[in-house]
Amino acid sequence: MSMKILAGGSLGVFGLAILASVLFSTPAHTQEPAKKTADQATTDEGKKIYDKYCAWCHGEKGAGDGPGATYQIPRPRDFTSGAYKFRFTPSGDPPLDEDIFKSVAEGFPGTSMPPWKHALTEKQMWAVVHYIKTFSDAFKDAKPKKIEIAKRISPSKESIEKGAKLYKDLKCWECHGDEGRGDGPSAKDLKDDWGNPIRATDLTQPWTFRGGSSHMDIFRNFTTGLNGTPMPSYADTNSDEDRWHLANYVRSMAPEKDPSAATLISSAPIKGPIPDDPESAAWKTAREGFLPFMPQIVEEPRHFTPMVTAAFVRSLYNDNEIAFLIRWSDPTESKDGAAVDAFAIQFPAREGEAGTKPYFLDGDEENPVMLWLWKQGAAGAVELLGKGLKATGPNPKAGTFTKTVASYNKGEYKLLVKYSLKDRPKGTVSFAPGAFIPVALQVWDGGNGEEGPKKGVTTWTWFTLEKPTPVSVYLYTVLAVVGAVVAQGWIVRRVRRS
Amino acid sequence: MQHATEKRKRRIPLFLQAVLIALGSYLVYQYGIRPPIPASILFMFMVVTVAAVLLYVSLDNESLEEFLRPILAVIRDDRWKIVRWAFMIAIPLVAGYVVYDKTVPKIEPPVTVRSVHPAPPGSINVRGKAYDLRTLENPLRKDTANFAKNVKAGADVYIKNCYYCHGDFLDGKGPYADFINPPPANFQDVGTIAMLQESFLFWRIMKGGPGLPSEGTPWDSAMPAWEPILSEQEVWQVILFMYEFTGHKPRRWE
Repeated sequence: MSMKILAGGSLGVFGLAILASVLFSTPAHTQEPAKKTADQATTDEGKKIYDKYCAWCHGEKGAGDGPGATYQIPRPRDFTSGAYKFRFTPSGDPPLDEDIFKSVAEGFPGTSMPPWKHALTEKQMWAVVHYIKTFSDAFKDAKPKKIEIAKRISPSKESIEKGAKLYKDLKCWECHGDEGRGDGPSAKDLKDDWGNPIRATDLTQPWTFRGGSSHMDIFRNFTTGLNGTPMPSYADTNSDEDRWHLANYVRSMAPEKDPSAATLISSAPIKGPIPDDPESAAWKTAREGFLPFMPQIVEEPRHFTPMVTAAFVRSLYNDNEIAFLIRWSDPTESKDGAAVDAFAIQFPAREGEAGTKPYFLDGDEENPVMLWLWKQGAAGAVELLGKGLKATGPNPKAGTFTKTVASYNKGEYKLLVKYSLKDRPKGTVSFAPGAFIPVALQVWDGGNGEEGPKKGVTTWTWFTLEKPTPVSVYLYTVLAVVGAVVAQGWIVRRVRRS
Repeated sequence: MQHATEKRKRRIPLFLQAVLIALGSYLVYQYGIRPPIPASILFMFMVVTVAAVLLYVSLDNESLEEFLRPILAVIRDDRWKIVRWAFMIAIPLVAGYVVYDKTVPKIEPPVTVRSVHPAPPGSINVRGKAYDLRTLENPLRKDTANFAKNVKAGADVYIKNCYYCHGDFLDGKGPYADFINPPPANFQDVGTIAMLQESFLFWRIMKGGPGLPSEGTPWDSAMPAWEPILSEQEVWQVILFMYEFTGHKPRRWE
């Protein structure tokens, strides 16, 4: 009995020790109280913080003209106007203090404005809010009123269908495009109130929604409009229900969960021929990898204003060929002129020794890359040898593209290339199943004036041809199941007989 | 005797106790410990816990019998027929799944070993001019009269060239930071510029990713070589700014 108590007791002590370690490892929560009222001391503190962190882009006088503003699209906010895009106040009105605070704290995804909550305290951010307001007369005697948010309508199938009809009737597609990729007929020449070019949001990429991507954020934008931009308010023309339906439809254009950058692109084995049709079911069996682009800002001429943000990649292979199916959003189709739309897949030119790779930007003299380049209007993909950003040319050891299928539809490119795996020249990448090969992507948007070194790039990621699952795996699995059944039957029989 | 059985009835049955302790321990290990422990450690903790529980229930025959009673009842008693069959189907399936999961080949890309601050060369050549990195100092530090002016000029250089990746808080979280691998350096961190000499920064900025030795994986780094873009003065200015902004002090020659 005493042993039992001892055992029970030690179990309890064990648990207590773990509980204690959990409790004491939690960091103490220390947060300065937020300062929501403006006084001289607060705005003075706000100025200090603003001058150190914000003036670079927004300018010392808040006109959005700091030295960092030069290459930014969208441009940094001009605080002297008092026009703010994301607010809970009626169209044309200045924002609530809370709206400015949220912008500072959360930042704007897809722009140069970072979330400052990681760097500044709540008190510091409130001080900045009050200082920012001193730049504009719009806040003088203004008492911004918070809009009422109507009860949310859940994103049911009916609601989304109603939203789709409204999207058509209200001509949202004129800027945002039929399928939401920001490719509408009026999208090209949009300007904000300052005369700066502005882009219609690609609604299929909620991770770039400046004001947030929740249903509520989208509903708010329809209700308040985005001051200073061509995006109007629909509060007076449409009912609360309509705006919820529309919000539900817009959010339904992309999956609920944002994709994250792939660290591995894998090619799935397929028996028989690889289909040329991107819509065929076989392509769905290949896992889709998401890779975001950085504009080429490493070597001159540098490119600071990219258009294409990311690509989705799938790959299939059989004994004869390897194929890639890539899709990406591009609001303009550019076939003619110097700058045409293009895409490239980059691999090392040589079967490399483990641990080294060519330079991720088109390689160099010592360690070149192989580039599979497709250009809008060309007959098919071509293989280049890259020895540096300005030193790409035909590859003497080029392989054969057995098929190139490219389509542009409603703001989306789909590119399918097939490459022969037969008789690979000695020393080149052999694409052996199970091997890991560095891969990188490049993209050009002709409509955005991208050509040559002005392009979107990724750094190296891994690519592999998945080996088919060995038969032994299934064998072991069946053995385990059978073994468990037999052992179980034996135990049950024994127990029931005794 | 009567009293004792009544008391026993109110107690949680031993089998349930054991299950609750094992389950509770699992929840604590999985969700209660911060930072989370690796799965292999969790597995070891669970083995110890389950062994302790089994030891506890089998300390004497009486308690072992009590512990086994519900298990034997499920096997023998036909009132529990459905539960019995549920277990008899579920257990082989779980066994099959575990074996499949352990034997199916996993695709794991090679791990890149990368030295973050590799040893700098003794000297470098920048646009035809040789610099001895072992004795090189920031010449602008001596110019105390123009210190503030130089820091401001450095801020301009930074915001026009560096913030895209290293961020406007210098914390390595610029707008393109998530798109490149390896990630940009975080200058707020005590493990970067705070433990480096200014000459090291001069080398890293002028020669960039391509100038790294191979242990620094030069082919992966998106850090430009600034030699053809920035002047010597601009590079020293941006270095001054980086230290002023973060409040770090450069490591000095002893």
